Amino acid sequence: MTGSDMFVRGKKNEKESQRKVEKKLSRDIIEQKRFIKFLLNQKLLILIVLLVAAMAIKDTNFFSLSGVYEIFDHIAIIGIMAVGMTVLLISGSFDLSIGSVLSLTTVIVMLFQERGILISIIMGVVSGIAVGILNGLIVVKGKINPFIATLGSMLIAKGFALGISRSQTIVGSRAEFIFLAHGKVLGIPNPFILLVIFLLIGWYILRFTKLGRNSYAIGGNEHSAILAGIQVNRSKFVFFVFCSLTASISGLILASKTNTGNAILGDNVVLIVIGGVVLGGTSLFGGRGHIMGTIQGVLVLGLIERAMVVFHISSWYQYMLRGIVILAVIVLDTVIERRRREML
Amino acid sequence: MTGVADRNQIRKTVRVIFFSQTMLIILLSSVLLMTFLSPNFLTLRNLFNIVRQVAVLGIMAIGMTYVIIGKGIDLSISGMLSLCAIVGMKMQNYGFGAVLVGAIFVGTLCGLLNGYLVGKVKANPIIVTLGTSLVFVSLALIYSKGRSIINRTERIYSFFGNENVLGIPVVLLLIIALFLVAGIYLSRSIYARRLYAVGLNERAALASGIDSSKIVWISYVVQGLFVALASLVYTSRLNTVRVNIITPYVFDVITIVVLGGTTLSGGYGSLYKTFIGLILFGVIQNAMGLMAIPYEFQQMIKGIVLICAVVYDEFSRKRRMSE
Repeated sequence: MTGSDMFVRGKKNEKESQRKVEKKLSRDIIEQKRFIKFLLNQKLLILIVLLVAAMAIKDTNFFSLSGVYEIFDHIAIIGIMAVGMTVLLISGSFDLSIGSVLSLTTVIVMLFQERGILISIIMGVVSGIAVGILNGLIVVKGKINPFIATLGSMLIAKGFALGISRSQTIVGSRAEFIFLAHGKVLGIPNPFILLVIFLLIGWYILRFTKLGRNSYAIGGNEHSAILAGIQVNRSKFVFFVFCSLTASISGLILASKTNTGNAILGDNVVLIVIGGVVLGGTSLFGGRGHIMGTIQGVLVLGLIERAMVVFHISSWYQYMLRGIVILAVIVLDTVIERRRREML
Repeated sequence: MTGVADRNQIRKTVRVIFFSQTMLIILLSSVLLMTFLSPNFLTLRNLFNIVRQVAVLGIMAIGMTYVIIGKGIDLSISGMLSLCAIVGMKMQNYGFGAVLVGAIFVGTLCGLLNGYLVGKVKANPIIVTLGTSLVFVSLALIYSKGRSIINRTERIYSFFGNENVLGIPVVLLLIIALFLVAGIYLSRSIYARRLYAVGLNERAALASGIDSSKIVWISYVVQGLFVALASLVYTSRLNTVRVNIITPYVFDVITIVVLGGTTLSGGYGSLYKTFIGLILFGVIQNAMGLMAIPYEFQQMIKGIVLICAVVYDEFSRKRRMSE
């Protein structure tokens, strides 16, 4: 063995040990990341358990099957919209108009009831999709900031709904329509079934389809997504339409549940939906998020709302609590995102 | 040869003037159009009416211009307005000084909260201000116990709202004074230069030694201050103050600022533009009223105006960048 050989081997060893250290470091970082993620998920679960426990003490009916159905019945409207919003937020976009779409759908469904239930439902969904197409066109073709574009379409949709309803509450004339929200299939309430269907659709899209992959890619870095040959514009357009579609479906359920149509039904909805989605770990900066988190986030918000009813808290304080929860969520999201960027 | 160059020069100047003063041209032509359509439009009475109608929006738009130049946005202003108005009304028993101090104190606190969350924590301004809006509204509801507050005892309120000085409404003088002061500050001060720099490119501003989080923070405090001032005019214009969850003020104010030509992407704009936007907005609103368009459809038209303004804004930004 010559000296140079020894030297090379020594260098090799040195390199290897260095690599090991690096590996360990990166593993540490990965574990740290995992831990933060784990902690965030755990936080939601802990919150859910605490809320459930608090309510179970107060409300004896809580743990029965009907109690569980009631909760999910309650969050179905928010949950379905949250699916569309999750896909959209992951792609780095944003939709403020879902509340107006919800209101518009309730109004149109009620107005068209005379012509038959099927037609009214189709018209409601079509009106929602039309707003989605408008959003998509303005954002994709006009290259406008999605926030301000959907702000405009929100005003347009709400103004239109106010105009055709003459600012009145329209009461439905068909008793069969109520079946959509109050009916049951195999003993399971319909809104619950619809919620599960949409959650599965969202999960499938994000997990198994090209569209879902595109969503993550566009949200992660739009410019590199374009360079990688992804059809960014077409994907974004589809996401906007999908988001409006989910809002429209929620509008159908709400209209059927209350048997009324009104242009102000969906006024504060958008904040709750975005709050739930972001609470579930989907980043407002795009590129990260999943449906499982969204379910949990929406469930937490729904439980909080229910807890406020169970504990007889005045609606004035409910607004405050909602605002504080949303502020806490957004601050947490921002801090986590910053730490993640520092780690990279 | 020189003739061609001159003509090109003139053409270029005309184009520059046209594109930099588009909103002024649109404003003048809409005023002209309305004068032909309605005989009641170009009367002094109606013009003063327009000013009275947009006074509250105008004062809030001053603060919003600051915030938007710093690449932010504030959706909590209607909640803030309710809170300031309620606090101001409750302070009446201690005299007008207390009303002023109370409203400004509350407005500044609200601005500090928004500014901390957006500037320091660097959270998304849209969600933050939507969230704080809920908090402000609920505070106002709790403080007023959900009832309307009617008893206006201070004479100063009717002075702001209804009286004239030398035949000119006090509100108009107030707005002009506020626009002048805030406008001069925005075009001359060191702080304003830094605000533009931060709005244009935050990283570059940071690299050149500007404490960007502080600059953004201050812009939100300015917004809170102007909302507090607007609340005084607001309470004097209305007979009762009642906290409402849904107030359209936010979108009107944003429309005004964007209509003037201040870009939402930050770093560009001025209070002169906002003033033009304010008057244009007032004229549009007044015209819709004169033509008896139902309130519901007015909302829709405002939405369409907002989208058109934004699309035009993007178009002109591209032009500016290519030149």
